[in-house]
Amino acid sequence: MAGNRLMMTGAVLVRELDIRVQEASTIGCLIESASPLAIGTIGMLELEFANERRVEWFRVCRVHPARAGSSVRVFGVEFLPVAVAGGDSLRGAIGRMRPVGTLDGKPRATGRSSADGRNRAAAVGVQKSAVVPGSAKATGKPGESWEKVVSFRQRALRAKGGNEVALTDGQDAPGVRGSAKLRERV
Amino acid sequence: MTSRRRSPRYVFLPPIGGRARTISDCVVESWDGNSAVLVTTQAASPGEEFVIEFDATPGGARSCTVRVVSSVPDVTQDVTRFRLLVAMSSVSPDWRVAPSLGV
Repeated sequence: MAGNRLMMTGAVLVRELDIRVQEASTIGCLIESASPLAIGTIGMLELEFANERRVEWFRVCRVHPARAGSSVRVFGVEFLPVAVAGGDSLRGAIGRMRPVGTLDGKPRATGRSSADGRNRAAAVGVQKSAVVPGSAKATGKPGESWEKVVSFRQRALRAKGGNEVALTDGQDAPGVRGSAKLRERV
Repeated sequence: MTSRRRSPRYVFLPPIGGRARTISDCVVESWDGNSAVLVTTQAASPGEEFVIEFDATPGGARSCTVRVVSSVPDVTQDVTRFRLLVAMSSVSPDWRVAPSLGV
């Protein structure tokens, strides 16, 4: 018995698997993999983005069911900010991007989501943009070259103030646009 | 629901390929140089390959590649663990002696 106890030691199991990143933001991404991943699994993501190797610690927070006839599952993962988002950080690279268009060309919804005006105000730009990886090199300077890799229709956002609704949206009446009271309520 | 997002989300066209390394704790129950029995919360299927990393003092962390031979679930006090019998795929000669693991 004493011998068995001496034999027991802690270790970590590291499993490597191929994944594909479908979507990403500064707080997480959507990956697909043929291997199962349990919710709560922690790991490190490594991929080449904009001609540079990017890494990020993540935790699986959502598992989507596989499509019929396919073994590939889609997982929602959140990034773990365990270190500064440096040059090799995926969330750092995503954070330096400047979206200029939507994937489907539809205007961004203005709806109140959680009555959290601060969050709503932070959500400038578009909700879902398209990126063609590797088509431009990251410079680390905001807004310099990233606009080239973000594609599709450009939307004219209000330059200052207002409720950050695209001018093309037309979801608030001109007469009330700019009203501070309404901005609080929208 | 998209309006609830706190930050812009980008779609990669096409999706970017990459690698993920998942990490989970395990306990090495036994070790005979060519095979080992591990207890972990992570399920595994026979044939799957893992890397085991130890803190083998002195000498710091060391690792070796193992292949799963069998996986048996072990439910104790509502916690599901898996007892994995693994075979060493690649291991340096000094690893074949248990005391070198620092246990």
